[in-house]
Amino acid sequence: MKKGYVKKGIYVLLAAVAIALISALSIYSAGHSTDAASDGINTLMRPIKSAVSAIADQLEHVYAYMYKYDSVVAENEQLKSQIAQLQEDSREYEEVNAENDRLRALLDFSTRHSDFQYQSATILSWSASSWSSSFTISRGSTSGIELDQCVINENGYLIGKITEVSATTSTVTTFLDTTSSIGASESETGDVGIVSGDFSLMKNGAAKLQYLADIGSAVTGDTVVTSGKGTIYPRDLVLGTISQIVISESGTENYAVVTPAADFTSLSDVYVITSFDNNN
Amino acid sequence: MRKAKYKKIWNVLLYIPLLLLVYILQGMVFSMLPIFGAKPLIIPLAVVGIALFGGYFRGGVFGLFAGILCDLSFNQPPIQFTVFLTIVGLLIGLAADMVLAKGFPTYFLCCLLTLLLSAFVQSFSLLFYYNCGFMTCLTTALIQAGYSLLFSLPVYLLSRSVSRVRRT
Repeated sequence: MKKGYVKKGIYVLLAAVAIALISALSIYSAGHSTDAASDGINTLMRPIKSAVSAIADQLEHVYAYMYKYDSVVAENEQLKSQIAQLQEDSREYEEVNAENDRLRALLDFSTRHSDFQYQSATILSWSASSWSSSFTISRGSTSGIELDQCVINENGYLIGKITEVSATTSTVTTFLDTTSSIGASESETGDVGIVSGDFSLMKNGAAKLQYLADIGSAVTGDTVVTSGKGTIYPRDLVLGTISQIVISESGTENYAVVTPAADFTSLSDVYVITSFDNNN
Repeated sequence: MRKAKYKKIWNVLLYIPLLLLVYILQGMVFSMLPIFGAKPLIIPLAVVGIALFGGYFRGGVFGLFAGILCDLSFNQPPIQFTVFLTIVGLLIGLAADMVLAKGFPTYFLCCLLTLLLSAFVQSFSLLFYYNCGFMTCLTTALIQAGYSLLFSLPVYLLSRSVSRVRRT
């Protein structure tokens, strides 16, 4: 049994040496070009080589992916934090920009009304009542706020007046409230009337302009400003524009609907006029 | 004896965060979210809950505090709702001590009645002094009551949970 194995081994070894010798001789005789045996072997090995090469390529990709994965994750995290930082910067920029716009508008308004003295305040909360229109601001009597001082926004548009004062906070009742009544005039015609709050209009964010001498001369789009009569409101503060004219059949209930110039829904800061001179 | 006393005090103290929670919701959150111009009243719902489960005395005392908070949330001096909610707390507490069942349907009906009365109290000056249209006021009152009743179930569950702390 063992002898048979050794014999077979010797035959195989001899065959291998023979092939090697034939190859060496043929390469020598053909001047270093490939011989027929190598050609045959190469032809046989080619698909295997291709397969091995493809697998090696794939393995290389996997290796590269595994190797770079950590750095990709780190880069991703870095990019995420950069995006978060940029978003925060953008928000800050928008806030600063909005504040800048507000201050610019206020500066413009103050140059036109040099006699006004202001106290800026932040809105703390709006009234939870469905039946009134008022809000609380962050300034009170310690900041020089007094009853009946009028309140405007940064553009100088009228918001309302102070109706309650405590040491550190005050209540502002807007001119849309049903208790409000302001002497007003149409800036285009000079007609004088009274802007007063109306409950049904208040819910839609509007007020009523009544007692105009000639309602027929009022046109939608006309600007309504304070008349300056009395001591509470300075002259020429913009209240809003006429958005509708209502003429009753009897003719006694004629009025114009005034849409406020100030956007009450986006108010955050207001300015209390602590002193003014209507003769200026 | 002393243990029972502490439990009572603890139970009373638990009503304070409940009132503060409804005050914050009414005055600072939902005052910014009106529906057709109507804002919800949540504080009266808490008073009804406290009176129903806590009885006559607690209803009255917490009705008083809740009324002050309610007036504050309306930016008005503590008069109108301070008096109104104290009376509501006392009456509902008395009725609960004597006849009322303490289930959700009873609570819901008490809330509806309280909300309609609240709307009447709020619109009183508008109706009789500023001559606002009755239908306009009624519409607002109904929307306000409907909006407020959305909060009745959570407030009922909270009030009931607080009252159960006392029993255990």
